[in-house]
Amino acid sequence: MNKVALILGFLVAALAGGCASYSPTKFEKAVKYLDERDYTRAIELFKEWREARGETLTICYNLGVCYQDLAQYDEAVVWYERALKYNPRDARTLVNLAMVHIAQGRDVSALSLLERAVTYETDRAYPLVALALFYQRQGQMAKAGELYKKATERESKSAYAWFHMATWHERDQRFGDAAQAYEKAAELDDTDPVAFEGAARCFARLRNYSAASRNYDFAISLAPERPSLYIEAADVMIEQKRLERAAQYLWIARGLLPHEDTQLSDRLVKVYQLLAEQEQAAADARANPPTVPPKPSGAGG
Amino acid sequence: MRARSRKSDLITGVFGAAVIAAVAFIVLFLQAWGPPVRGVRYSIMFKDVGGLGGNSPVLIAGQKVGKVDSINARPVVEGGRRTVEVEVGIVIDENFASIIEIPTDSQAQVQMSSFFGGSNLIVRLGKDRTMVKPGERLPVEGKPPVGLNELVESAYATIEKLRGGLDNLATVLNDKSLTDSIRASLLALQSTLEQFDKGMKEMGPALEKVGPTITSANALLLEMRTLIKTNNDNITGALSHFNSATRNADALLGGDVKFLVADLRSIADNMDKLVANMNDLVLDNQGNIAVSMQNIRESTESIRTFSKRIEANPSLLIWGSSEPAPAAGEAAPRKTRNVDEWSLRQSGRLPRREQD
Repeated sequence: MNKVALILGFLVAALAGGCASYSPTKFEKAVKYLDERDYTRAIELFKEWREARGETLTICYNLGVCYQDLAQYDEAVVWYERALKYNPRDARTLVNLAMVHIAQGRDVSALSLLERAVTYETDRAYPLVALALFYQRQGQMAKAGELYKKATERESKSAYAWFHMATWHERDQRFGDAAQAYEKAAELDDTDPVAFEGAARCFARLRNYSAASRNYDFAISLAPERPSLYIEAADVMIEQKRLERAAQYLWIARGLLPHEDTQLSDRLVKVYQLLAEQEQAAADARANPPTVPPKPSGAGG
Repeated sequence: MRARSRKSDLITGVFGAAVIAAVAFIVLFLQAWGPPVRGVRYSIMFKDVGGLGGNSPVLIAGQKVGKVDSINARPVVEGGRRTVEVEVGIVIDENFASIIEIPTDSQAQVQMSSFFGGSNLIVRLGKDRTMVKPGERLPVEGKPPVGLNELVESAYATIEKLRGGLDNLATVLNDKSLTDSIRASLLALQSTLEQFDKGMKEMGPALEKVGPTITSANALLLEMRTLIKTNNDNITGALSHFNSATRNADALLGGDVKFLVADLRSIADNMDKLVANMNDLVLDNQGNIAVSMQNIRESTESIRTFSKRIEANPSLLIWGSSEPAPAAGEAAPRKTRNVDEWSLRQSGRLPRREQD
């Protein structure tokens, strides 16, 4: 009887535990919206959380990120500067504020912020990467390269460093090095479709279509809602003569695009023409099988 | 007494001569020597400077802007013939140096300033865009002055030519055949004028007929007036008929057509009201329409996601999914438009923070 009661009690407790659902906080919901690029809702929830729980560095920083992504740079500067009031030596905030200043054309203040970030953060790679990005945009590619090298040496597992180093290689048309750096970035952060896309693009430029196709497939599996990935992957597949798969990808892209795209239609027409030619060639081959050369007659067995 | 007076006159005469000589000397000295001028120097080549003095003024546009600084003659050989050319150095006063630029096609000319000697150097500025640099020589050779002797000679030559012309005229007029032909021409002109006069007299009667023509036109107008007066009743009748016809047309427009127009106007009013009502309807339900559109958009997105998931894993139809269902009331994320992931990554922005 005791055993039965024990089992029943156990079952009830398990059932109650299973039924009790976890409800995320507004902050977590806001972070989720931010990840999904729903900035309006993310800002709304971050502000609600701020009103309910008070302002913190993280809230201000994340609001700055939202406004930076929306290209509302003045608002972004306000929130990053508020974040810096809580910790003036916060290197991440300094870097993001510097990037906003670069977008606003305030290069001198951006450089000053980046140098402060490099001084305050001596263990991580990202301040060096951000400084390298600054010099890369100024056209000082050699200096940028040195900083990228230093950054990857300092933190060899920084996907951020490898990704931006790859963009540096790609800008100088060193597609082999760029593809390797993108793959390294993708290996370190396998949830990043942009790194896979970069690798695929560089492999396509190198005419390594199988590697390009593989990376595009990874990128598509991570970001299936981006039509451009399907289109670029289809281009690679056309080169590989995988025409049916290319047509399939193009149709998916067409379904994802909000408007009719004439370039996409042209690509589809081209794929179907190639398919028709392929089928015709196959039919011709069936109709006229290659003649088998006669066996050389043996010299009297 | 007389001897003393003569001696006194002599002293006075000598003194006067000495004063005149001194004045002449000072004038000549000042002409030959002048205070040094600071400024920009140029040089000009001349074949003949016509007695140009060492301190002669340099004029540009009538303004004295400097002076002649140096005059140097040098022997040259031209076409196997030895000749002399003169290099004249000029200095433009520093007060004018910043204003005056001398184009390369400018030409200098020596000009006499008075009958009693002395001359100016006139620089006529050209139109070229390239300028002579300070210290360089003007490319165009200077023009020599026109001397008084040359003027007299040219005047004499002109008088000689005039005299020759008058002599020729007198010879022509003395020629009898020429005077005869002039007389014949005048006679011919006289007969022509007489013929013209005769022609005018013959045209007299024709001109007189213009008067009766105007008179007959006047009579025609009178006849027309009489005709209108006699047919006034008929014309009035015709006008009254036309008037009544116009009135009938008015009545027509004011009758059936008026009703037709009124109907059309009422139809237009009704249409207007209908459009206003529709506008109000849309405005009243704008929010509902927007919400419905949003719901449709989200439903479409859900169906697309669902179909993708089914395509990727058809077993979901049988076994369902183990993923937790979204919380009630939680809106599905709606991606902000025009977000370019590649640009975001390229921006170098660091990712958001996860924990508050």
